[in-house]
Amino acid sequence: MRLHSMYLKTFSLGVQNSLEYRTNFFLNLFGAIFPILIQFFYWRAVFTSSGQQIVFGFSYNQMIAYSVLAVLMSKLIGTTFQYEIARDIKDGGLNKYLVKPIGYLSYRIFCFLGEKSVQMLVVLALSVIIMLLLNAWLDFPVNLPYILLFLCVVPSALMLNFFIYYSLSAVAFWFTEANGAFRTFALLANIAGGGLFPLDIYGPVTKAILLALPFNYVIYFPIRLLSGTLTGPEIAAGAMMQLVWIGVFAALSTLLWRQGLTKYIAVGG
Amino acid sequence: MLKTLKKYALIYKVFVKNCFIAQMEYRINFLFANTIEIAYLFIKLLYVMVAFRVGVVINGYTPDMMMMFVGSFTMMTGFYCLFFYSNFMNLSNHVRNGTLDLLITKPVSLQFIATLRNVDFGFSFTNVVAGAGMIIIAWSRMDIPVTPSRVLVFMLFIFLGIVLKYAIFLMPSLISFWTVQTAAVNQMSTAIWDMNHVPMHIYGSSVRHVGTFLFPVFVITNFPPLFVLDRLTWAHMVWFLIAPLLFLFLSRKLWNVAIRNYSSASS
Repeated sequence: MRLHSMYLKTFSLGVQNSLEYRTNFFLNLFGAIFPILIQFFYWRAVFTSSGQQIVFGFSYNQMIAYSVLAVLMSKLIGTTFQYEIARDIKDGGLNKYLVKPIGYLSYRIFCFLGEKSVQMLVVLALSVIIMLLLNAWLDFPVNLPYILLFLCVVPSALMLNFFIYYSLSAVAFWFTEANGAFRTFALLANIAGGGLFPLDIYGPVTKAILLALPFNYVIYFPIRLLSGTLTGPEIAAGAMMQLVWIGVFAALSTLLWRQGLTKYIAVGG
Repeated sequence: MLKTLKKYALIYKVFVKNCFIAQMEYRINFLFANTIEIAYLFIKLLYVMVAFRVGVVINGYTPDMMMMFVGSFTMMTGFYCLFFYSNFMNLSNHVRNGTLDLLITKPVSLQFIATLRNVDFGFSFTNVVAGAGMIIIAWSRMDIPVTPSRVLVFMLFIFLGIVLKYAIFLMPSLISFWTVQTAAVNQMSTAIWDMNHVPMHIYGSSVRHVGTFLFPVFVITNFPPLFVLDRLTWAHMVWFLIAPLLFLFLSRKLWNVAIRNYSSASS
């Protein structure tokens, strides 16, 4: 099989996968309504009660827009392959990939991208609709250049998140029951990335720490960019940092996987 | 009647002991269950933290009051995970794999053994302790007098809340008798439950009324602290006494209908 057709096949495998479980995906998306409702009513109450125009550096419409987009963004970049990898490692499912002419990493990347490509279209379409609604309702600024820039950084955010969780999945080589650790990590990473509240609600020290971590480049940075609150140099620096972190985690995952595979016992022969 | 109650209490005691022994065997799982819950607890605390950092009275609630509501929500989540959650999740497995057969043959009520068999300590420990802690801290910070009547009624309300929680959340799980797969339904009911992250008075009046009367999730976590704060009207108090019985009755009826749909899967 030629090289590129091999990856194309894996990619289409991911696409098929996401189309097969479409009900699940849409229900998942529908479930996003409830956290959005909580955030909406909560911030509305905070803003009307405080009587201030700006809370934590956000105006009312910016805060609502951030909350809605953050929930959607967390859905978009969310990964579940770490559980599959852990199962492959635990039950010996990894064996069949070791003898195949495709690397496990590239298999996972293309499968992931295939799966996300369909979901991305849906979520982005939804985001655009919501942004237009917010624009009509709350005067949320919609700028074409920012939307285009946003579309440029979303793939990096996706890849960064992929490598973070691919590195994490190597933990399964050392602990057979890693699911608890995965779930805890995902929850904390979402908070640290600004998937629940914007990072501006924390004190200056906490915020500085969170900005130094890679997670904010997955959710917080793209949404801030989209809302038009970042300057040109800030956008450039953010996009650079995304690439740097992708490099760091790609290296880390290679290292961890090389170490981990020496521990692999190929259960089930 | 009393004899039956005594018998069931005895059986339940055996269940609790059995579950405790089983879970202590898998200590790492117990540990991870707790770390997951600590992460969720962190999310709940963020809502309180935002209230404290803004530092204003939000829709009539001071940050201390917010802490009491979130504490009540946390504790109720803990009790739900302790007594019911794993049972409700297992129900669809029983239906799919036909393992309900085994339970049908037991000489006790099927609903009792199918919905109360497991007691989960791992996922509940953190929440019950942290929730109680938040309530106590908020209570003392607001200088609310600790009278025996107030404490007793509060505890009674917590108990009523647990009963109501059982009745309301059993119903979505029963859908598995028709659809077999209930992951999506369960996800949805959890999402609705999570709306208790903030006090009910944060929401608009239509959402509030639906959550109080139609699908009374707000009642469970909001009414006990509302009582402590002397903000519960008489009408609401009466509703809190009726609702658990009413929904228990409804869920029992639905159970009886649902069980008729059971077609033993394997044999």
